[in-house]
Order: sequence, then C-alpha cells, then structure tokens
Amino acid sequence: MKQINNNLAIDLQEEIGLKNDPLSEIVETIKKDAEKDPSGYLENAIVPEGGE
Amino acid sequence: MDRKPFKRLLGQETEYAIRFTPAEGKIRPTNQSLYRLISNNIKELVKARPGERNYYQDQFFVENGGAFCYEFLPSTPEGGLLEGSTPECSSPSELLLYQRAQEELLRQAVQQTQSQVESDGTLGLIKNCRDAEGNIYGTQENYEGEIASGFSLFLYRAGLIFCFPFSVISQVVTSFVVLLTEFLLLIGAFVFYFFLAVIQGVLKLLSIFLPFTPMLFLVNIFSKSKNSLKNKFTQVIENEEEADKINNMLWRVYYKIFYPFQIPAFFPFILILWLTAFKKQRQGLQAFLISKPIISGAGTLLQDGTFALSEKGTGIRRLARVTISPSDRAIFDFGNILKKFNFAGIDLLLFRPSKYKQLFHRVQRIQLGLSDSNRAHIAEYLKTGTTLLMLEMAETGFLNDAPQLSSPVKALRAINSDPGLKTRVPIKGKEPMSGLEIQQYYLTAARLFLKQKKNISMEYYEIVKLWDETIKTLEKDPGKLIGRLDWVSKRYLIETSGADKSYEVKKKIDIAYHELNSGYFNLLEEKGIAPKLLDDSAIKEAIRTPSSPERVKLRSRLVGGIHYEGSRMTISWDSVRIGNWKNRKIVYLNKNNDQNTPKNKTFD
Repeated sequence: MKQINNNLAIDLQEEIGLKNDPLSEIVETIKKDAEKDPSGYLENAIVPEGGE
Repeated sequence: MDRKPFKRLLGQETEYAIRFTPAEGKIRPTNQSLYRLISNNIKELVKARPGERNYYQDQFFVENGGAFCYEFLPSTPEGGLLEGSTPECSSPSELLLYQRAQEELLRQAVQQTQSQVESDGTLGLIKNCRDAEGNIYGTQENYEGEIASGFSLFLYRAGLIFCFPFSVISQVVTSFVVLLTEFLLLIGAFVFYFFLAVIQGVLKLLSIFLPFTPMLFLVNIFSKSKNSLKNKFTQVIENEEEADKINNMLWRVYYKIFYPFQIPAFFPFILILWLTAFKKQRQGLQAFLISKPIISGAGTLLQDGTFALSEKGTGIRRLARVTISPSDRAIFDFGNILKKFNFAGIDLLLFRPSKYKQLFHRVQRIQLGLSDSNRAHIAEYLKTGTTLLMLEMAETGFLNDAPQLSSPVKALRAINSDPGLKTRVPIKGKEPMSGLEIQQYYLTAARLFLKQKKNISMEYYEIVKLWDETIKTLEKDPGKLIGRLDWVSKRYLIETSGADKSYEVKKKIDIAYHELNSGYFNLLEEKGIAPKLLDDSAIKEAIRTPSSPERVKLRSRLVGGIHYEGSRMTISWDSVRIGNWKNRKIVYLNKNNDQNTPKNKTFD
C-alpha cells in the first residue's frame, strides 16, 4: 500500500493559494456541471423501493 | 508490510444504482435490460461462469473469484440494482484492492455498454446508498465470526432442528404452487390457441355456405386473436424484454401470495437468531458501529436541506433484523442466514444437504447493514479495518465492558444528523458520550489490545495509526479530511459548488459524487486531493487474479481454466458443480488445505 501524505489538500491550498488551488478548480467545474438538468439527472437515478 | 494472515475472512457486497439519462424525447430502458448489456460486457472483458442464482438473478462469477448479479425486489423487478461481490479476502488491504478492482471492471464495462444502448442517452453506475427519493440500498460488510458458544450455541443448533420443518413446508408449498401456476398458464395458453384455431376453421367453413358480412367479420376477429397470441409467444421466446414482462408480472403475483405465508414460517427461527446469534459481537460492537459513520459515512443531503453523516444510517430501523422484509434494515443483518435457511429446505429435497449442514458450523458470516458505499480509499479502508479489529477484540472478551447505548437506534439518528459531531447520546450507567468520544474509547481499547496480544498482524497497527490520525483531525480541523472521508468531502462540495443553489442542484452534487465513470469524487482523485492507497497497476491486475484464500484460488481456476472449457458448470460461494445430472462432479471449496481458512469455517 502507498504511503499517505496526511496534509496533501491543505499543503496544496497553502502553497498555491486559495484561488488557483486544485480544490477551487474542482468546485468551479462541479458548479457548472451540477446546474445541467439536475431534476432529469435525479429522476433517472431513482432506485424504486431500494435494495438491502 | 507484514503479510501474516488474519484469522477470519472478510468481503463486501455492493449494490450500484443504474442511471440512464435519455436524450430529449428518447426512452429510458429498464434497469433489467441495462444490467443485461453491462453484464454481457463484463463477460467479454473477463472470464465468467454462471452462478447458482443464474436463473432468477443472472448471477455469474468472474475469474478473480468475485461475482455479479441483478438484485431486485419482487415488487419492482424492472427497477433493480447491479450487485458486485468481492471474493473472500484475508485482510482489509486486500479487500480494498478487490473492491477497487470490481469498480475498475465495471467502469470498463459501462464504457463499452454506452454505445450499445438502443436509446440515446448517458449511462452510469452510481456507488451510493440513497437516491433522491430516499430509497436505501448499497453496501453490506461481511466477516467471519463465531455465531455463539456454550448454551447459546446449543440453543441455536436446537433451533435449527426444531424450525427446519417450517422451512421445508414453506418451500414445498411455494414450489408446488409456482410449478402448478406456470404449468397451468402454459397449458391454458395452448388450449386457448387451439380453441381459437378450431373456431376460426369452423367459421371459415360456414362462411363458404353463409357468405354474410357478420360471419366474415367473426372469422377476421378469431384469426386476429389467434395470430396475436402466436406473435406474443414468438416475442416471449425471441425477445428478452418481452419475456421480462411476463416474468416480472409473475414475480409480483408470487410475492403478494407467498410473502404473508413466509412471515410465520420464518418467525420461530428469527426468534432463535435474535436470542442467540452473534450476541458477543452485538454487545461489544454496538456503540462502535453506531458511531462509525463519523469515519465511514458517505454523507447525504436530506429533503429538508440538512446533512446527515451516513446514507444508510437514515434508513436503519433496529439493531438486529427481526423480519424477512428487506426494508427491515438492521445494523446486524441476519439476511444471509435466513436465505440459507430458506433454500436449505429445497436443497434437502433435491438431496443436497450441504447448505443446511453449514448452518450448524460455529463460524458463520456476520453481515453488517450499516455500511456506506465509500469512494475515498481511506474511509473504506478504515471502515473494514477497524471493524475487523473490533470483532477480534469482542470475541476474545476484550469488549465486555464497552459502552451500551440506552437506545441504539435513537442514538444512531442523533449522531448521524450532527455533522458538527457535538451531540452526546445516553449511555447505560455512564455519562452521555459523543460519536467522537465513543470512537476514542474503542481506539484506546484497541491500543491496549495490540499491546497485550502477541502474534497479531502488523496491518492492525497501521489501521490503528490511521484511525488515530483521522479522529484527531476530525476533532481539530475536519476540513483537512477532504478527499479522505467521504462525508467531509461531499459536505464541502455541496456547501461550495452548491452555495445558493436549489435543492435539486445540491442533491445532484450528492449523487453525482458517487458516479463510477465521471463522478465528482473522481475529480478529487485526479487532482491528487484524494489519496490513493493502491497502485492502479495492482488494481488492474486484481481484476483477473484471485485473492489469497485457497478457496478463491480454486474457484478462480475453475472459472478461468481451460480444462473445463465447454463443460456445464455452476458456481457458488462454497462449491462448484461440473457436468450434467448424469455425470456430475461437485468440488467443495471449503475442503482445501487453506491456511487462511480454518477448517469448518464458512463464508458462503
């Protein structure tokens, strides 16, 4: 198993700066994508009555 | 890392939601037909063989020893889920590897399936546990564990003998009625067809002598009815979707007829299980499991706009299952034992007593229903790693003094609905504790256990170290766990990407986080924010190679080997049947000299 870097996300934020950090980019990407027909997306991911 | 084997096997079953978003004006195919397409592609990517539940759940085993099937409730057969089961594993790190291998295989299969769906639209598999309407499904953790000891074990075994006739009677009646119904339906359809043909012939003959318009009209009606019945037959035989419609209708009817009869048939055995099964584990792990969502919860946005730590946690009704209904969701789920008990009746009637005999073993499979479908490696690794360690501790009596919650389900709801992690829940005879405090209690006990125990796998030390770091970070600055814990990551994305947006947009972030092929979590992984505990090359290799237990290696050899190519083979978790009725060979997977599987242990 790989070694874990405990503070990866925070290090990146501190080093690169909040505006250009990868997390902010991701937030922006998701913001745009999530607005595309959210109701249609949710409706077609319904599992009638669920499972176990 | 020390590779010393763990004492018990573990595995995981994951139900994936099948999503298909059709293009405008296009039709959404049923989940049943989408499952069929995906499973065909899995079978093209890896070697596969039919499983014992192939006839009603399209179950098949793949060459790494794992399995897939179509999981559905009889009331809604067309809206089922794709269920993937990992092979039995010997350690939490191995389980994580095989879980991710399953996901990688599914990712590839979905990519291939996308262009094969007749309707235009996008296909996806979602590894989550709760949809936008609040329906619950998802993951179940499985561990080997001692079902009982001493008098409780005697009582459990006596219960198996006493209650068995109920199972046999229930199965005999059910099978008889099902076979009779299907026989009568088939005969009825043939008789009706010939009746129409005869009437049509007689009318045709009469119309020669009486060529009036009403007579010709009648001939036409009977001819059309006969042809329509014939076409329906041809469709059912040639078209799987038409056959599905008939099957699904029968499932619904059978479910409505038999379910009320099965409740009393199962009740005595459920009572015995409730009194005897896994009592040590239920007592020792109760508070641990109820507070575990603070580590392994996947997070969910509720309809009222609030956020809960665990998707599954919102649907849990009790500590241990007391009915056979799938909606009776419990933390300790006896579903697997009940299923085996149910089918044991049929197996005995078919001279296959092995399943019933297995139920008498001291070691059985503990199935945990309160388990979220994780995307983050660390959350998933901690989920199974810490539980495995707790089971070890409970069975050696190390958790006899563990905190007992005054009201377990109420406590779960309270902890689950507080992402601030401050809520304290009442403990019997002690001061109230928060979820974090409960986890700290178990962590301290685990450290003491490891200090006192010799000959224990080094992986437990790794697990405890990571658990300790995670709890400390949760206490001080949970934001640092983005990419590591799912609920923390999802909450952050909903609060930032979904800020000032509608409920639908926020809920889409919640669900799309879990998409296997293009999920929002994938973005965290691609940018290095979500650490991977495994190499991609190891994951790809695990798609085709078995996990370490000997029984899995043997199953894998039989599934993928060329020796039996062309032979009829049916695989199950405990045995492989090769050949037909006349010339059958049964290979029992438990009877191997397996260092990782102590004798008489079962994981079926």
